[in-house]
Amino acid sequence: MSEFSTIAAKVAAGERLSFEDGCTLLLDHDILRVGALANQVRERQHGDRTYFNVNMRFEATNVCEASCSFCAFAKLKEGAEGAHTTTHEEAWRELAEHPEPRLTELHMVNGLHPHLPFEWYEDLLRGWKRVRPDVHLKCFTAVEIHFFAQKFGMGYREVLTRLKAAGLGSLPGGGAEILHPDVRKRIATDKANGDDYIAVHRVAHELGIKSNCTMLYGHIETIEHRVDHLVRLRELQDETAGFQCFIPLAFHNENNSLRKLPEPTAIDSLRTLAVSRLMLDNIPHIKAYWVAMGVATAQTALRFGADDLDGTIVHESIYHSAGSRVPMELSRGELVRLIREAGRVPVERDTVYGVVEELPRAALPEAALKVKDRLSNKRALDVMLGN
Amino acid sequence: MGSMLTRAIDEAGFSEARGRVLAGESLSPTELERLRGADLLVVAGLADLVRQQFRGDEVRLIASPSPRDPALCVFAAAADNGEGTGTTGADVLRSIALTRLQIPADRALAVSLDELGVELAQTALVFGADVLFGDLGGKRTLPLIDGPDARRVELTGLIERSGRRVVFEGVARSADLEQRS
Repeated sequence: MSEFSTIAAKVAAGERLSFEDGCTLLLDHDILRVGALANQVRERQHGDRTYFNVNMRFEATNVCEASCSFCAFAKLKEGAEGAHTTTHEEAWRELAEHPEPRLTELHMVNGLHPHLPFEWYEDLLRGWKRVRPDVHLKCFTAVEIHFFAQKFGMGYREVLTRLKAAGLGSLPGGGAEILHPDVRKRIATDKANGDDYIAVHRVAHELGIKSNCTMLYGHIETIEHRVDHLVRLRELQDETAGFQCFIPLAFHNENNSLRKLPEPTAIDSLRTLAVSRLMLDNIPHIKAYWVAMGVATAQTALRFGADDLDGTIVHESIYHSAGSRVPMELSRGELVRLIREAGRVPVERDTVYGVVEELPRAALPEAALKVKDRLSNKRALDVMLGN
Repeated sequence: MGSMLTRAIDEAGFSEARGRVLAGESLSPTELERLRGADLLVVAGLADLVRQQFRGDEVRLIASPSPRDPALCVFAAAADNGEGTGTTGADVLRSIALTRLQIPADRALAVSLDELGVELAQTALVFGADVLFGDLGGKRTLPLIDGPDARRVELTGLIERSGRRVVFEGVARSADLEQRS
């Protein structure tokens, strides 16, 4: 039996894949068979159901005392060109005036601001809860939580408990980058390390705060670093079961110190996502984050192991600062169409995967109808064939 | 192609179709009709089988396809970036795979880098395409290897990371790029 066959047999039997299996799959050039294997697991877990939500992104400040080499978002000092810190009133107004009545989530990630007091963040959350108590606040990466703990002399438990009391619903997964110290010391030296990232999520889960997790791939890391990263996340999930979703994040190379590196290709993104689905057997959802992957690749990923497309977003700065060319926003209708045309069933969810609405499947995949129109036109085919 | 994907093709009821395309025969209208609604990976798997058997692992990069080249079929469709109501990525990839299955098996299938974008064009290589054409000297190059071959070096890496071999056709290359290949 070939190594792939051995791995496929393990997947079919529901057995856990090893570190070596993960490396083998990431090195496999036959992306279709790796994708098909991941798709098998995805369909076993979720059938055709594919999740999305109506959300908005918010970045309260891009002032950040960390200097990660992959980041194009952060400004080191207040007053530097492009530096911005919102006021509470601006932040509250943005949520209060959000045009989408179906909005269920506000997703906030910030720089590590050197001067804002902790109470500023608590007040920010409280104000949002006053204007839209129904909207789930998914705010602060583990890196921010670690920063607060260090800066304000608190433990993770105290930071998280106070933020939860102010309205925090869950944690986003950002800040994981690559957890292995050999990579982290080269790209993210002055913020939470890999162990800190894991420790913050462990405490959050103990407090009943669900979270997501991520991996920034396609820069200086090796295949082994990627698999090591997945194994570390899987080990914590064995302990706590608090991760809801894993999101592979493709490195972008504009306006940052790693601009000399090529970005990961679409095939690399599909392969990484597929292997993530196969390795992370205890994390329920794998997200194809369209802002990071590109819309077309994210949609294709729904056949390579992903069961979630993220949400409407509305405004995003972190990836767009680093060269992302995708739109700032996808409408709910557009997300539904993308999911249906991938032959899946759209399910609008809230942040913790409660079902808001399950939409009907397209009678025949809309894509198939269009393809039929296009290819049944004999004249069009004749033209393509040069007849 | 893994036996797993072959099994998936067969389990989806396309074993006869698989046999036929591997023999270089045309699919019946009924089979094509069924493939239009089939799992995207099954359609891709069939198209990739044909590509492997009749076209091999070589990917040709050309600046511009000749409209009179009888050995070349040019796929034309604009990818949608989610802004309108046009085609989506999955739609384009399915069309490419179905085109692969409808044209004579020994004919090359070309997709445009400029129309599809680099990401979708690379993915098309596992949906039956084996020729990429378009601007080979344009933007979005790597600063370290800036120069006349920058775009080509970038594309070479992109194709090789898909497990395929690159052949530049009718495109002058510098000594540096010759050395790399």
